[in-house]
Order: sequence, then structure tokens, then C-alpha cells
Amino acid sequence: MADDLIGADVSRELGRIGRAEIVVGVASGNSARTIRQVLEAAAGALSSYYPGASGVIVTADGGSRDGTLEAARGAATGPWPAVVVAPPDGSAADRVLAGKGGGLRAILAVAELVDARACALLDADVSGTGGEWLQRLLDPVVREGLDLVAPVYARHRYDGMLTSFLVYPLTRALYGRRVRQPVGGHFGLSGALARRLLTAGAWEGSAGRYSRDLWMTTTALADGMSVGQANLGTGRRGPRDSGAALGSTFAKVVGTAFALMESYRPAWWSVVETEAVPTFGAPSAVGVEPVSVNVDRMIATFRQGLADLVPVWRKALAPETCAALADLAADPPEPVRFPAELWAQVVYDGAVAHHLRLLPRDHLLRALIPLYLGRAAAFVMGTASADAGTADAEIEAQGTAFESTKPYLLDRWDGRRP
Amino acid sequence: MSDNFWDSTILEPLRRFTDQALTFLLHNFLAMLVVLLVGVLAAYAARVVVGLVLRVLGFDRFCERHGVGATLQGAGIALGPTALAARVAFWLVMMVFLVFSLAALNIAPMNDLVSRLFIFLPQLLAAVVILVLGYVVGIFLQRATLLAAVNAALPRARALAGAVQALVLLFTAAMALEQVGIGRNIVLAAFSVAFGSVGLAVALAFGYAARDLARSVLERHLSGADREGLGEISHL
Repeated sequence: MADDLIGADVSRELGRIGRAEIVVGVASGNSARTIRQVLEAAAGALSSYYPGASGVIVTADGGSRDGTLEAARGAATGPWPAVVVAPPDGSAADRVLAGKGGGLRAILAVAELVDARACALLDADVSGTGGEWLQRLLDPVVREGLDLVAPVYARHRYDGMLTSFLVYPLTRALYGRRVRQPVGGHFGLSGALARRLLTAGAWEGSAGRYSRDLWMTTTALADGMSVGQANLGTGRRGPRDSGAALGSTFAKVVGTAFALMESYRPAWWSVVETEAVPTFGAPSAVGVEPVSVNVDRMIATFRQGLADLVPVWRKALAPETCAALADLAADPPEPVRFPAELWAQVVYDGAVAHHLRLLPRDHLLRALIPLYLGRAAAFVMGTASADAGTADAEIEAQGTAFESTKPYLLDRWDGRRP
Repeated sequence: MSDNFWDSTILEPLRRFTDQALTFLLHNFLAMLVVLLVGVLAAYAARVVVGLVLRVLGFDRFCERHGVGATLQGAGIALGPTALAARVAFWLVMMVFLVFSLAALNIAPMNDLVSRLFIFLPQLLAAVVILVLGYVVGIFLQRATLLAAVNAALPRARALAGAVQALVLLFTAAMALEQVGIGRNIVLAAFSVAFGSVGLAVALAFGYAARDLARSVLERHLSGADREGLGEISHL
């Protein structure tokens, strides 16, 4: 299988390298602008923080057409062996490596082949990757024995609202551990988790990078592995990824979260309380860049949903949820109100509808988007003049709402209660 | 002589008629009744089998998901989709055996009618299947259009979705009528004119009256930044 995933040449090269304690994997996809900097920073970090260890740096490319491979091969990694895994034309690897999500599988295959103790996954698109990132991702694995280290980026309060108001609180309530950014981009993994992920299913299909990140985090949580998180400061992707349409991102990530609920039902069913996960590194003291939010557009979509999507929502959401949304429709246009408990109820209803296939799944997920925008707009308007502490408190309150509303999910999951 | 006249003119034809009537009753009519009886039994069996199979396949839930259930209720049909399909199967089998039973009567004009019915029935069945499939596709596309339009904050999203569904239904109805051979030329002409007019109107509206809107939509899409107008935020 390794030859299928990484090619016979790379396999032979790794055979010559032998065993490596640390693997640094970079999944790239049209990342020519930043890949060299990321690889050289990784090599510098290994030299600074793990000089006595054996390591290998892997670039797993998902079919770049902008010179990423050439830039990767030209990176100066010093004493650290570096391999580049690329899909040769027409080979079986072409299929498995498509996209950055596919690069993950190749990196895990390398980690297994060299019997790595720790593996760091870096995103080739994130500029400003410093050596300290690598140390914060790997130290908890190497020195503390953790299996997964998720990143925590210092972000503007309005960045990542889908994570703050859906992915984080849902993951927290289901699996009992508060991983603030389960869809991170940079991760630290133990060799055991790398092997576990490699042999798990869900490698076929079109799940993208975000879905793979969520799947990794959820698998580690559901399997009871030790999980922590590391403060990585501010991290910016090359171009702002707001170019990615919300519709497709929402459908993929939320669809993945709902699908994983079916796979891991025994793991989350009886979880009642949540606990904090160990956090490494101090939060960044550097301010974050301001972002512009078009809250009027969010409100307009939310209001239009309240006017036009009620017949669709009636098929997916519980009657009491629809009644509560009808109350919101009767509110004056501003300020927008969307209670945290109601949003938790909406998400749980969506999960149940996904499980019971009450609607075609793509339609169901897209029907939830106006409601997400309503929740986001309510947050933006409620914290416009508040400080960061207030905004964080509201996000935590959303997480608490998901926890307290979980019995509602358990009641409805098998369709016993309409 | 009067006895011979009575016998040959009255009694003999009467005797022949009686023989023919008895033959018809005992053979053809009895055969028809037997075929009908077998048909009733077969129809009941078909109803049971179809109902069982559809229940196992979750047909009711499939129809509920695609809005067919709600449409049946709106049309005043109290039966669920599975029960309705089972009943349709019953009457279809019943109709086939009714046709067979008419053939068993062996009356010449009836035989001609039976052969025409045999040719028409499959076309009618195909037309019904086209209508049902077209309806399901129409609902699916209507909902997809509605969701896309609302998420893109397009005005009159419901009207747009309704128009898509109406177009699909129009197309389906034209295909079904063409299948059964009813008013082929008129349907083709009317359909072509209607579709052509709609296309021309949309092209004029989008290309002339709404050209500024079209330009701004295209600019936003091609620039790659803030395509949806939500601001420069990353949702994840």
C-alpha cells in the first residue's frame, strides 16, 4: 500500500533513511508562493529544538500546477532529509493524492514507514510559519505523550464564526473535550494516532482539507486518545480563504460533523460533562488584524430564509424549533436576536434530520445556512462595541448551551420523538 | 306441408340460435368469467406484493423527503404513497385481465378493440411514469433553486423556484402527451413557442435591462474575493 500512496522511488529513499523519530509533513496544493519558506522554517525548527533526533520532512503535493514541486525540491533543509511525494501522471497515487486532503494520507504513510514517534502536519499555505509553531505542536507529543495537538490561532472575534458557533460547541458537547479549533490546518500527532488514522476508512470520496481535519480531531476524541492544543499566535493563509464559497464549505464541514456522529454514536451518546484539554504556549500578545463583516448581508439572508424557507425547515426541524423561529420572524428588523439555546436546538435538529434522511442531505445542509448567518449576525451586533473578553464569553456560553441541550438530541436521535 | 314450413322457417333457425347462444354462454362467456376471476386473484396478489416490497424499501419516507406525500395530502388523497402504489398495481393488473377476458369472448369487433388496447396500455404506463418522475424532479429542482437563491440573497427566490418547477412540469407534460400520441403537432408547436419566448425574454432581461447587475455579479465572481458579499472573513 505504501508504494501506491507514495510511489516506489520515495519508498526506496525512505528505506535508505531508515527509522525517523519525527516526521514533518507539509500538504501542498498550488502553494509555490509559500512552500519553500515553510519547509526551510521546519528544517530550522528541527535543528533548533530537536538537534539530537532523527527526522524527515515530507512534502505531499496534491497536483499543483504553479511550480510548487520545483519550489519544494529547491528548499534548503540542511541536514534533514526531505522527500517530495507527488502524483505521477496516470498512477494510482493520482487518485489518492488529489487535493490537500489526499496529501494527509501520504504523510501518514511515510510516518508509518519510518516508524515515527511524532508527526507534525503543516499547511503549506500559511505564511509566517515560525519554528516555534513546530515546537509547540511536537513538544506535547514528544515530551508529554499526547496523541493529538490541535492549533489555537489568535484570530479576530469575527473570524471563524462557523467554528466558534457550530463546530467547536458541537464537538465539545458530543465528545466531552473542549478543543477550541478542531478544524485547524496544523496538527501534532503521535505515531499511534497516525497509524490509527491510516487504517481507518473514509479515505475514498471527495472530502476536502477541512473535512479531513475535523475527521482527525473527532477520531482522536472518539477513540479516547489524549488530546491537547497549542497556541500558535496569528496564522494567515496565503489569500484570505473567504473566496471559498460559504455554501460548499458549510455543506462539507457540517456534513462531515453530522456523518461522524453516525459513525461514533457509541462514543458520544453517554457523554454528559466536558473538560478542558491541556493548552501549551502562551496566547499571542500581538493584536489581530481587523476584518470587515457585512452584517447587513447576513441579516438580509437570514430574514429571507425566515420568509421563504419555512416549508423546507418544517420537513427537517422540530415543530417547536419552527415555532421559535417564527417568533424571531416577528421581531423588528434590528437588532437581530438568536438565542444560544435555540441555535443549539437548530443544529441538533439538523443532525437528526441528516441521520434520518428527512431531506436530501445537500438540501438540508444548505437550508441551515441562513440560520447560521442569523446566529452570526446576532453575535456581531451584540459584540460590536464589546471587548474581547465579552466576545469570548459569548462563544463559551454557546458551548454551554450545546451541552445543556444535549438531552434534546438524545431524545430525537432515533426518531422516537418528532 | 305446413309442418315442414313451420319447422324450416321458425323452429330450425330458433334451434340454431339456441345452439349458438348455448355454445357462446358455455364456452366464451364462461371463459371470460374464469379469466376475470383469475384476474381478481392476481390483482389482489399484486397489491399485496407491491405493498410489501415498497414498505421494505421505505417508499413512504422517500416520498415524504421529496414532497410527494404532502402533495398527495394536498390533493385530498388520504392514502399514503405505498398504499396508493399498491392500489394502482391492483387496478393495472385488473385492467390487463379485463382486456384478456374481452378477448376470451371472441367477438370480432371486440378483438380489434383488444389489440388496440394492448398497443396503447404500455404507452399510457410510460406516460404515467414520465409524469411521476417529472413531478419528483420538479420538486427537487424547485427546492434546490429556492435554497441557492435565498443563500445568494436573490430577490423573489420563491417565484424563481416556482418558475423552475413550472418549466419542468411543462416539459414533463409535453413528453407524456407526446408518449401517448395526443395532439403531437400542437404540443410540439406550443412547447417550442413557449420555451423560445421564455428564453428570449430572459436573455433580453439579463442582457439589456439587468446588464449592470450582471456585470457586478460577474466581477465579484471573477475577482475571487468576497464573492458572497459577506465581508473579508473566514468562516472556518
